[in-house]
Amino acid sequence: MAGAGLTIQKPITVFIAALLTLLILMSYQVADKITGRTVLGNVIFTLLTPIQSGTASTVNGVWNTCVRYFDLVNTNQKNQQLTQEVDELKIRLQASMRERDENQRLREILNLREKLPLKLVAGEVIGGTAKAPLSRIISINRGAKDGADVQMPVVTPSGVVGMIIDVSPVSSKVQLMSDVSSSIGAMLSRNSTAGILSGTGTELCLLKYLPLNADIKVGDAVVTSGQDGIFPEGFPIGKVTKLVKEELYVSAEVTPYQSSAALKEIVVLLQSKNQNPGRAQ
Amino acid sequence: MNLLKLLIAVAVIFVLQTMVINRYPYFHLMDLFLLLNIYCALNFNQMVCMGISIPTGLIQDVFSSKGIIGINAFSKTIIVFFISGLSSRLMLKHPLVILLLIAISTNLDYLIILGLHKLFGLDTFPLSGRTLLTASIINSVIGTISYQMTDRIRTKKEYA
Repeated sequence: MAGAGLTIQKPITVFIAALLTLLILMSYQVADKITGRTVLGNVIFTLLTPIQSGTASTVNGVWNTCVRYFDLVNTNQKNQQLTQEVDELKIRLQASMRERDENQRLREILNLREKLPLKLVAGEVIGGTAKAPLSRIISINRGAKDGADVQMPVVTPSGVVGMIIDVSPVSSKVQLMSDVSSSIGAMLSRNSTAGILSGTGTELCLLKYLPLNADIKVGDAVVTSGQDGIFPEGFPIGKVTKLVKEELYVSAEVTPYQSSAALKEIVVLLQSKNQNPGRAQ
Repeated sequence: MNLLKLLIAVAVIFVLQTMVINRYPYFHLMDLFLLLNIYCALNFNQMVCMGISIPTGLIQDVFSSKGIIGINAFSKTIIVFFISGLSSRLMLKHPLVILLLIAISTNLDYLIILGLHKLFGLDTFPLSGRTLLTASIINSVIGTISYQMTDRIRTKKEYA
């Protein structure tokens, strides 16, 4: 009888102990909100990402073989390589054009000639989020060894993707700008009206806190404002698809140029905190 | 041997969840880790289920949340504990019962996660009824079919 009582109580005890332990674990992490990084998360992430990277290579290999077979063309690999190169060149071109414009402005106004160039590193997406739609996070195959660090912007030639929130030696976790806890300084390309672009957990984003008298129309292009100190100014984000009038301000629904579903190759903008000209410290 | 099978299952689910189903609309709402846990809850005792739900939940946390680890482990542990407890007392292996069980579990999983987000003051995702319904339907249908197939293979092997 006593034995039977013990077998019934044992799982309950373990259950309660497990829940308490998990609650303590979660509370500990919430308390560490200043840095936004957790030791446990980093350790598990570091241990598992090489496995994920390896399996991603295998899965992608099989996937690519199937694609090539069905296309009956052996140019897929070449095409991918060229696409990656073109993407990288487009980003470089974009960066150098912005650099040139900025240099010109500085020369005219302040007579300054120097500006630090942006360093880039191209990479691939190796995994998506494990709990959609509650979070929108991807893993990429570039980590600390490649120069990646937290808060570094991740972009594609089409537009902004998000920023790095966790780094292991060989891979990183990227929070997409559509993640519900993401906020980016953004502005309208047409008249530089600035606001804050927040994620909604869906493919769409919301450009908030625009003045009620702001000149904004559906179809307006939205670019980064550089005010967040993370994303350089002028990177394309998306276009306004809907206006929502609040009591004190106007919000605009923004459809990003870069769909998260179609993400494959990305580029990390390697810039240290000191190098970023727009960084608000 | 069972542990090896389980590890393989977790690895396959991990690959499918993070690298394959994200490519397709609607299917990204599927929670394969939850389905694995429910399968275990219907076939194993509570201790074993908790031994599975905690590590799988933690893996899911590491690859889904920004900062907090343990939310999915917490919700999955509660779900499997009750399902496993129920399945040891009641017959729950009828397809319709499994369908209903997965639908309830999916909703419960989201609600526990949202509750924990609110409890810890984290950003919460505005969960719509449509999303919940879609996730419930997809999880229930795929989960029930997968359960029936896996169970049939397992039974055949046991009798062979």
